[in-house]
Amino acid sequence: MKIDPVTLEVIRNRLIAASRDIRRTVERAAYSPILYEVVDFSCGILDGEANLIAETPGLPIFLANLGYAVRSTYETIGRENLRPGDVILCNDPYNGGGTHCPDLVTLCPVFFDGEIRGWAAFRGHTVDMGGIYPGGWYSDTTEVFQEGFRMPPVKLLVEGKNNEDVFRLIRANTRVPDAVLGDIRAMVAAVRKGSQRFSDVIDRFGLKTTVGALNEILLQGERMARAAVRRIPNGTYSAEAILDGDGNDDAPLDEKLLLKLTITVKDDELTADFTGTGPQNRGPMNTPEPSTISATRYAFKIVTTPHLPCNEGFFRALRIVIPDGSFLKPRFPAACAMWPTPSTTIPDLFLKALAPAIPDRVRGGHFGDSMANFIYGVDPKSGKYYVCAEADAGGYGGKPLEDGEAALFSMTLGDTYNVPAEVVEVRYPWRVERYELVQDSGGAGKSRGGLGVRRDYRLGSDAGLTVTTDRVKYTPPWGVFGGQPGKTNLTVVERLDGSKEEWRKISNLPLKKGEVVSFRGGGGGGYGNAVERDPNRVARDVVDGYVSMAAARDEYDVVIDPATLQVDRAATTALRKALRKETSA
Amino acid sequence: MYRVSTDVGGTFTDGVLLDEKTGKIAISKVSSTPHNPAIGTIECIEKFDKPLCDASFLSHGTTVVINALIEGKGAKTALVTTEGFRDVLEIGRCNRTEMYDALYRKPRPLVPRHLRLEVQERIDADGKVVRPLATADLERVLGVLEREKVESVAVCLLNAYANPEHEAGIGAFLQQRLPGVAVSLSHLITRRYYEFERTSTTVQNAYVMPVVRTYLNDLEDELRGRGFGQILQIMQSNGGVMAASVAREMPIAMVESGPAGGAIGAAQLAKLVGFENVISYDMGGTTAKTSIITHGLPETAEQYVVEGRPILLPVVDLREIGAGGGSIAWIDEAGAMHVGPQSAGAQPGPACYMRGGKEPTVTDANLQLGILDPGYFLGGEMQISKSLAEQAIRSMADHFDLSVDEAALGIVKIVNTNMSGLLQSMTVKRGYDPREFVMVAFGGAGPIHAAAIAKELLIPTVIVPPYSGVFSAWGMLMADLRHDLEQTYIAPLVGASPAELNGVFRSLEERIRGVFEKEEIEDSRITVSYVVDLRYTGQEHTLAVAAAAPVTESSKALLAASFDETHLRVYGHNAPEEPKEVVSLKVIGIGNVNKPLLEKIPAGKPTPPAAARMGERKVYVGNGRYQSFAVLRRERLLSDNVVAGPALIEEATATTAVETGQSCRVDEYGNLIVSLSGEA
Repeated sequence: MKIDPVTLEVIRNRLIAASRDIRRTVERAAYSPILYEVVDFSCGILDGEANLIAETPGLPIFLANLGYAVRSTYETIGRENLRPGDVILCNDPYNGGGTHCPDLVTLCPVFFDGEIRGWAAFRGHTVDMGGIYPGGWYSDTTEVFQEGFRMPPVKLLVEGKNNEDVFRLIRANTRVPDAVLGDIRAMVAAVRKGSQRFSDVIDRFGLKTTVGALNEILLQGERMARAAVRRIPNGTYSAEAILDGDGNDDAPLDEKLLLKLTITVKDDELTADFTGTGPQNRGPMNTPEPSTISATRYAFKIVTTPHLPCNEGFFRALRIVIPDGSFLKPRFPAACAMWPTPSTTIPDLFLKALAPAIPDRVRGGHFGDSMANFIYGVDPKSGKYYVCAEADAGGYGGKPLEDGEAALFSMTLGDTYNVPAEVVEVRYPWRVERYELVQDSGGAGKSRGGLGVRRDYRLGSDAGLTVTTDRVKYTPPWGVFGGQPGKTNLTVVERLDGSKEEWRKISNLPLKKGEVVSFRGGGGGGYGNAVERDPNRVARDVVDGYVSMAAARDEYDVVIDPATLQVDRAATTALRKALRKETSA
Repeated sequence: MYRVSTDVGGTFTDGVLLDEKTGKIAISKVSSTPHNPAIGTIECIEKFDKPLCDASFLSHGTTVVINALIEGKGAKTALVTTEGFRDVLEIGRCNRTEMYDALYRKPRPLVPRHLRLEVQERIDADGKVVRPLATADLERVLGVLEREKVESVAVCLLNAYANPEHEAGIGAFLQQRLPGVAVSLSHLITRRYYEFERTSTTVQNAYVMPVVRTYLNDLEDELRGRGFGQILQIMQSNGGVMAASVAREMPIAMVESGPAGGAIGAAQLAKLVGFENVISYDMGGTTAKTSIITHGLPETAEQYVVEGRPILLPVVDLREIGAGGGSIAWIDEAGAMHVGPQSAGAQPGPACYMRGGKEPTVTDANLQLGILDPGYFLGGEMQISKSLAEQAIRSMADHFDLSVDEAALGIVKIVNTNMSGLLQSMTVKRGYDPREFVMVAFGGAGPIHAAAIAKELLIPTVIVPPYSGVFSAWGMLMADLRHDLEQTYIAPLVGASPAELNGVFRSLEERIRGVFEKEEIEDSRITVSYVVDLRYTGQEHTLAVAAAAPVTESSKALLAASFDETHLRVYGHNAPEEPKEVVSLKVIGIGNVNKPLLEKIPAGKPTPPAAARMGERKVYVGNGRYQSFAVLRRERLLSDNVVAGPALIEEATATTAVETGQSCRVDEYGNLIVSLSGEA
């Protein structure tokens, strides 16, 4: 059925509005900072066949797995067994979830004439769904059974009524039932609202027109994506990175994980092939296939159509090849609590691989990890158990025409907000001692990499600490076109006796009252050769303390007069000349 | 005696004068003078040709603050903050609003890093001093400020919302040692937590303070020189006015002063006509702005963002989208049709303006459909070309294999959908039923689209005020003084001591009364209301609930119930059994100014006079059908005239469309009151 362009535009806008409604409801009414500040969620409107029609940006890395949840629901419960008013919940990484146990998915079907015509969907992170220690991200689990309470798609609401059995099961399986159930209430309200808005569209425009519009929306998405792929020169491009691996630093399980990407652009189709990527590991650094697809779609979106709203049609121009049994397509029951870690590197590798093809649309590598960390214990004031789950920020790579951005969350995360120090101090029993940029953490380059961030907490009572930081050891945030790498991520624990421990991954480390934990997100890589940078810009960076005087000399070959903080022209020229001679000799 | 208001906009400075004896209104419009907006303001007032010594009230809205922020033309500003936190301003919230953009760019801090100066001190979240303020650091800071010739200083310390003593100490020190430098202290602007937002607000206040001081000094000098003897009132973002002396300390409160005038105008107008719940709808050349008024007061948002930088002060909750008369209709790469947000602006303007515009706009579509009369644009002062409009729309029509008329109707439908989506997000999604609202439509393009949008949302009544082209200035004429103060105070509602809550309310109220005293407002004119921000314990976001003071143990239960009810209305669910938490206490002070009487227009019969009837015009209504619309001249209509749709009521700056089945009544003040059901 041919849909007139005006009706199509009206329906498209209404469905986008419906998915925004889902987001707004959860954001404002949720209990966990990870939902309302970190925005560790995504929401979407799907058609009856599980194609994403409209989404509202939350966490971009969740782009594809809403459809997976719907397909799993059909397989597990059966399409014919669903009724109007049902709300589905699932979190099993291998059945409906596709990520890790703390991520809950709620789905509400849209019925018309007794048939499912669409879905409103929400996926979001809750603070705790059980598992060996609080938080849900572990670095030392070895099978998914250790990682939390798993639910395949189940009916949380049956024809509009709470299925109290399921609520009781959840309450019994989380350390913080009030927060988790509060979040679930918000999630349920949200998808019901979204589903209602979708129903309104069908009521208003009729089924035939609505279905026709949905198909046209997908077709248009496909056309957009294909046109954008054509703008990338044909060819084969590749890049790789080595992830640190998993386990406690004290007891590593697998040390090095090779992530390999080969991109082939042929006319209007792009193939992302992960052949050569290492096998699934013993620990939790495994990304279930739906999430690998999701991360790859996100990357595809970045290099093709970054400013357009998204739907399933765009990805008809993308082929994805993932080797079976690799850590990007692990087999049940592989542990997968740290699925986001490998997937954070995927979009950055896309930019690295395609740098020769589209040099004006890429940047240096970013710090490459969400820096997820968890502090938990009993609050001495209230006597209650708390779990604080946070991400930390770092630097992004230098850009073709300007320096990299400082202090942003990783690419895995999106329009995600930090928890302000003043909020932290109200909520948790510790003090924020410093929240600042780290000098010299950005890779040198014609465009300098952005600076990383340091956040120090001094604990006011004993607590446990789990940190999942990666990309510390083998692959720093890379530079491009001659730019230097940025400083890598790190966590430092300062003990009561003043000794300092440097960590990558930590599982359940006991901390004492008065000890300091310092999260340090790395910087971004540089873009272009540092000696091509205007010495005056280097001097300005020194005045502002982004770059030290020593680094100005060592990395940029620029001598700064310590008295005036201006470029010492003569000394700089001499230094650059001497270095050139050295290189040519 | 008379009252006068002036509203400085980007292109024009508008003025409205109201004679207090007769209620007669005069308007004036002059070109704005961006290099020194005071000149345009004075010109605008002089056009009335009335001695300023007879002005009893003068209110003023200006873009001087927003322009300084957008153009980056503020003062050289430094920030003094707690050791370890100078980068809060640059770190921001670490989010990426454009998350698929590999080259994403964060908003830049207004203070460069070398002017963000740290001092040793620390206050904890309970307001306890855990590290005293290091006075030696202040000398070092002073040295930098002097050496760098800083013009304005923002001071924002961690947890100063809980205890401002260190900020106050730094403020006193700077005032004494650097008397010529402007100082902004965060706790005097807001005592809300969230250090980035509070710092950002304080920095922006400091950044514009010297600019605003110079501007207000110039303007006041000019006014005084012309005999003006009253207090100059400045329009604020919160929908109230404040004395110029207060504005000098809190210039950031002026950021949305113009648009707030429109919302206040809508509120006052509706009150006059007997409505309390209003949707104000202002559609101009490039954007449409809308706000919601409930119980006679515009809804405010607690935060506002300019150029990506948050401002933590109440602002009339004004939402804006790129949908105006100049919005361009276009086809994307995949073949989908869109309208806006790009606008043809004033140059080249819509294709029909004959200034070289080739792309079809909303105005072109309205002309093509027959809604606009090519012979009576701006009252016939401006020539426009229907054939150029048709030509521009034709390429789009051909692409979709539609008739030109059908394509034009499509453009209008899409822009109406965009608008009704926005209005829906402000009403239905907040739990309001649009059927309980009236829409006040103004701006050059507002009255054309209002009835169609109202129909979509089931809003029963649309009011089109006279003077809709200077409506913001009209609103400023009607504005009361208003001050908002807030204190973050986190405690479980059940356990919170009424004495402490009342203590906080009292201290906020005392400060507000102190400001009113400075503004020479008598006590009898002051109304104070109290608001508590609550949430379920564990939630982050809050909802505001009106409180009666003093709070007692038993009134706390009422607060709880009222919160549960609001939560249900806004989010569609609640949990009455869950414990609640107090997050913030707010006091709103209104200084009521006398509301002038307005002049009434001559009365007539239901049938409009023959002189107002200008014949008929064919309008395309879809499916290949044309309908004959009666055309009427607005200024010739009389009170009690009733116009049945389909009709077009034309005035120089706007056209009001009344569709079939709707009817329009003219009230005693000359407002057009469109009833969508057709009941007059």
